[in-house]
Amino acid sequence: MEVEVDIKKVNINDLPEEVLEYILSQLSPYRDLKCAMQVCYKWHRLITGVMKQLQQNFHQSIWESRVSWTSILPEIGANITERYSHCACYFNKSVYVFGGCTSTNTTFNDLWRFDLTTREWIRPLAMGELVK
Amino acid sequence: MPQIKLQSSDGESFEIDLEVARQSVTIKTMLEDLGWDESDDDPVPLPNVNAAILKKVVQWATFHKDDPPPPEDDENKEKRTDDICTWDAEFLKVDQGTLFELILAANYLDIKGLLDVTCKTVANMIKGKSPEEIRKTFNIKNDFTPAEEEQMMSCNCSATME
Repeated sequence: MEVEVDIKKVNINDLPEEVLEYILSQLSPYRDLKCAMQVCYKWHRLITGVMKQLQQNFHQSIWESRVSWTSILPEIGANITERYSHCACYFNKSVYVFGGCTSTNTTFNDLWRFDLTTREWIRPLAMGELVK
Repeated sequence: MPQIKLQSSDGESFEIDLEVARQSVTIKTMLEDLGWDESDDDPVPLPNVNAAILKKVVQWATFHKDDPPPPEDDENKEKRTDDICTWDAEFLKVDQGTLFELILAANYLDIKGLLDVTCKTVANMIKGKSPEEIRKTFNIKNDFTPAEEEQMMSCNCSATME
């Protein structure tokens, strides 16, 4: 007599959808979610829902003024020095900060990039002519 | 300390502290509904959990029995996955099949702490990977057509660019 032993391992896509959705909702919205979306149809569908929910929560929070600033300190690597009057912009999942001054009237001409996925400050080399 | 017997799907019995078992909302509710008391000697059947996994779950619940109750989920708080304690990280150094079975068990038994930490572990396995690397890691079939894939790529995923 032969006994078929089912040794098929549980696959990630065998998890109940609400659990898989919960796992995916833990990913950083800046890069990992976009990548995970391209894995297969199921993930694409679930992540579309997660992103919609994130956006709704964000708008709801703004609407109800339930937003707050929190200070996050990078554990490793370089860190930008305190400053004011700098320029900042958002581009491709990063925040760029340029220049500014300190309370002792030092002025900066350095450029910093804050990677929103890894939460690291990176100092890119800026080259070229100033735009007049 | 009162004890309770749990029986796995494959018939193995585990005698554990009641307090440990009550971390499972499913078991807790079951006992309340049944009006269970200490003189009861019948094992509680858990038809969805096999002995190997139940053993792991009991081990986890025993270690975490004095934890404060997990905080309510705040939808608006940014999720963190880097706050797994070292004991849990060590405990979850298991193969993928076991990890997913633990998730299924934590989901069925309704043990939020265990579900959280196992799901975070899986999320950490996804992080920083390209779609192809994710498929390889979890053995997922790519069911997009080449045209669909190309269209998505043009929306730019920068995982491999950095």
